Amino acid sequence: MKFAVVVFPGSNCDHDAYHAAKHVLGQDAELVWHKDADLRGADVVILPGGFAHGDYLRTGAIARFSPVMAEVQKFAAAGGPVLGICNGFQILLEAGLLPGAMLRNNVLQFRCEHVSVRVEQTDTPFTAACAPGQVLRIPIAHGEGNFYAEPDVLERLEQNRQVIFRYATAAGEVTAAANPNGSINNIAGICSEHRNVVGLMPHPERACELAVGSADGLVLFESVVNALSQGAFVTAR
Amino acid sequence: MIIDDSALERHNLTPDEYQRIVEMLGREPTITELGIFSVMWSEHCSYKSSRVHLKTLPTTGKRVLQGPGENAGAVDIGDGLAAVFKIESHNHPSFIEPYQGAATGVGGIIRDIFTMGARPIALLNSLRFGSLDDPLVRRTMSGVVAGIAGYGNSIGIPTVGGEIGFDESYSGNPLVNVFCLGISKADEIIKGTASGAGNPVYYVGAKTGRDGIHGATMASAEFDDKLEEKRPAVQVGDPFMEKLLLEACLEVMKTDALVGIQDMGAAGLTCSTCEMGSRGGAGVEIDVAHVPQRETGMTPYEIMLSESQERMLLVVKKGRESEVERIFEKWDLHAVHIGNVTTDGRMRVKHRGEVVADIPNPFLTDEAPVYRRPMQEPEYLKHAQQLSFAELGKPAAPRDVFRRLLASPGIASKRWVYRQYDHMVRTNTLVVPGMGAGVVRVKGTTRALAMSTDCNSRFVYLDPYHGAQLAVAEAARNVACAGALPIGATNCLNFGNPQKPDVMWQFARAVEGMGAACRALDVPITGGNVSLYNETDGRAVLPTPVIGVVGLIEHADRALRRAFRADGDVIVLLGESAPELGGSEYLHVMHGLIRGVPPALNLGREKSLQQLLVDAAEARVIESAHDCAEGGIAVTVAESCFDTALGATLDVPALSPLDDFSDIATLFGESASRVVVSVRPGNVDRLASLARAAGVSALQIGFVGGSRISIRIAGRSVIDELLADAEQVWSNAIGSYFEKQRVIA
Amino acid sequence: MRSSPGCSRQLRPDRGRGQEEPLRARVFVTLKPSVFDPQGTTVAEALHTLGYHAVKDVRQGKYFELDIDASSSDEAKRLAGEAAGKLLANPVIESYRIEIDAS
Repeated sequence: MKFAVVVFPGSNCDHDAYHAAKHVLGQDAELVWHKDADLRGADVVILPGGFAHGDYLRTGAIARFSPVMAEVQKFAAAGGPVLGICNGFQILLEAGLLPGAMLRNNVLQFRCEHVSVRVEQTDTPFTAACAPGQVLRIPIAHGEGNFYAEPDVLERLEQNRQVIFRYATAAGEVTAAANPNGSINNIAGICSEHRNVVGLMPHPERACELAVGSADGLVLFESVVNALSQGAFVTAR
Repeated sequence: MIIDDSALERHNLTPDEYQRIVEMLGREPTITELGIFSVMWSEHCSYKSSRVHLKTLPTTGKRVLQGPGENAGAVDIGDGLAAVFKIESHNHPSFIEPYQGAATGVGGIIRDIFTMGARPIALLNSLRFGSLDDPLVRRTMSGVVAGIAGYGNSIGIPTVGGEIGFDESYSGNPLVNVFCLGISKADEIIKGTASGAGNPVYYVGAKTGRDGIHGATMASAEFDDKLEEKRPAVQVGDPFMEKLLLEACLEVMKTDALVGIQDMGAAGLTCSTCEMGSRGGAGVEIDVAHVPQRETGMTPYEIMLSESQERMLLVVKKGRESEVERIFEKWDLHAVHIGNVTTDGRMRVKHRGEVVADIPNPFLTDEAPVYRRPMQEPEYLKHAQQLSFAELGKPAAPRDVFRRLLASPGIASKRWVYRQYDHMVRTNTLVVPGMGAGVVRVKGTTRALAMSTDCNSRFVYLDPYHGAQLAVAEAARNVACAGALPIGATNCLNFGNPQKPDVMWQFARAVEGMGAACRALDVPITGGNVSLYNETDGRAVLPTPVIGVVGLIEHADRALRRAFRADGDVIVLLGESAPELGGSEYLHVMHGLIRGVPPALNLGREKSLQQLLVDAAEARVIESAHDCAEGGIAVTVAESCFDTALGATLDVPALSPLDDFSDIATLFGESASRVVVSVRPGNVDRLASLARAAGVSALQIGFVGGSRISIRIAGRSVIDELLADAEQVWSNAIGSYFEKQRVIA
Repeated sequence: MRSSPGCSRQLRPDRGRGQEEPLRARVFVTLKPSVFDPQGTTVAEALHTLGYHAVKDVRQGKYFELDIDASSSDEAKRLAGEAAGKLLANPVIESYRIEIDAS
């Protein structure tokens, strides 16, 4: 399967996502520059973490207007799997591909540490290989990961089972203490209405090898490869 | 403008120095030239007070690819790769504006690394603050930490470790030393050299403004009441711009179209221009009218002295200009042709074609003043080295001392700080902050690099020569504890006013001690930084020569942490203990004193210990290793327990003389060359025989396990704490100082 | 010596060339009332520690100055409104208002 990792000026986790897809999972992967309006036949698109455009104005606010985003929109509209990680999630929010917005962490500090997230739904391309309620130990590294949605939007997200990951304890309990940034309803990641676009604040690409602390994130990448192999979420090209 | 005494004073030049300038030029300097001399002959750029001493340091070795004199040093790490690294200070700006002072310090050292052609992959920082009881100190510390985090996280380079110390003497003079390490191909290290007559000189990066110009500026028609607005004293860092510069420069470097490149740091365009010319034995001519400016009406003086951040100076091979410009355009950067390399060895600055400065490069670099300043042993020293236990009264109970030490900011958990640093970006970090030396793997090889920055400034205060040796030993030992062989070092020497003979004496002795230790431990100095004048109202900081050591691990999976790993593992103390409390954290926390002499250090035994650690790690004989530093064995063992929530039970021999302070000395004494390791029961004999062969003493002192920290001395219980309680005290200490600030209305 | 055009160009257009000066639009972007503002809260607490207990609440926002080439205040306001709606403010969590300087 071919992974396209989009690189914006200021992205800094692009190589980590590329490494995970290519060297850990052994798949085909390519870095796509934001000015390119060509995803080059990718099967999966990843918007990686970092500080696109320095996070100036608002995180993701300027990146959403890059030429490549028109292609990402088309790809998503055609049902292709798109994963937005951290800054990538923020860009998907600003681009309107996912509902809601991101605020500054309620602790007003950047937080870099391992957290536990519980997988809430397994019918997305990136969680298809997970067990319902599976707890994954994945690092976060963000200063603006406090997810917010207006009450009616939030209700719809919950009703439609669009909340995919929640911050939880290692035992899988969703508690206030397990919430590192104040996100409403402990939301760590959501999906689009058609479920092919997923955004999450934690960094699964940083948890693909035990040597660096955890390999729990690998299952997100394995899921999408399996799902595509079985014919799901394939876009017509 | 008339160059009178007050103008000289504002430019920090002595009348003698001015006389020399006139003699060297054969005429009076122009105002732009005066500005140029003033920055190039400043302490920071010329090292005039320190050069004679720094010359004595060992800077060569079989792995050294680049020693002092370039933007950073480099050592060979095998597989055709080099580790490029250096440490630098940004002390004074961090007091004025903590966030931006620290942020721009990070930006500066990162540029020094990628300008050599190396991709930066790790950061460390060594910080010093006053007492956390002082709200101004708290404000300074939170600003500095936020600034380091803000810049490092944004540009995407992980901060994998560091150290923070506290002492009253740093109240008005915080120290912010930042270390950066990058990787490049060993034969593709790029120098900051200008050569090849007619080769174009390019400027790329942020526009130049009036940032950081201190002192006199040329009066001009545009200077009116808007003066203050136009001249911010503090530079504001832009990590986004630096990220673009980093990527674009690394891309350009792959093309071999570059002759040389240097970042514009202290003394901005002036420094990079004359230093590149000097190194290449060439001249450089530029016209400042071509320099991109973000303010109007800037004079040549201002343009040459501006310290606007995120700017690079490049010398491009003639004919390759469009290639280079195109790469920068891709990153939305404009590389601007501002001058050319010449053959006359001079720095010539024009403004719209008119020459405003014309100086032979060596006058500004190699021929800058070199001073051999007077030195005298300080008066405080003899008295400070006396330590009479009789004067101290009866010591507190070990249990109470234990808790007080765990809660003291110098020892307490620094998690409040490092959880603000992204320490995992680039997925190379094998050992995260708080676990000992930082360790990053080198992708594409089996290897990893360990790094640590250390200095016990109390030891240096009490004996600069030995204290500096102990700093070198500690940094190298921390790296060896990770299983890495120390292969190179950098230093950041933070001292007071060098025009005071006692400060100069401290400096000279520290450099001597550092040199002797580096030679004995085979850790050459590849570069570094000197920061002088760290004092307020005549009171200098504790002399703080921070040493950064880099070590190489042949097999990354052997990297060790300080945390105990399994129930039942045997705890072994490597190295010999003596009752040494001089300069200890115990004395400072419990008695408010910095007295006595630092612990003795036998460099031969230290070297054997470090080699033993490397060999034992490679052979997978030990599970964890933690060096004994502040707080002695008791604190070392406790810290090894906290990370994995495994308790420990110890029984250690009493240190004689068996007086009132024997227990204190046994538990909290800071004898050097000691490491606490944990070993699987099945490996104990192997470790014992490795230690015997190395001539290192190895003493079994206990076991890992349980929910308590229990320490006995010769069978008598002295500390018996619930692990969770001790951990709480240690974890919450620093955060609690900052929670105090928040008042709930 | 090759020179790059435009690099020493000043940042502001020359005045006094007889052309109309750009109109200045001031855009105030604020968080919607329902959105929690930890920065504003922290600022309020800091003011309280300085003795300003009369300050009951603080909300933190953003302020932009746009210099716009437009033939009328209405046109400037319209353009500024588009800029605000599309980029300067995030409609999910922020609202904005615009003032045009009297010419």
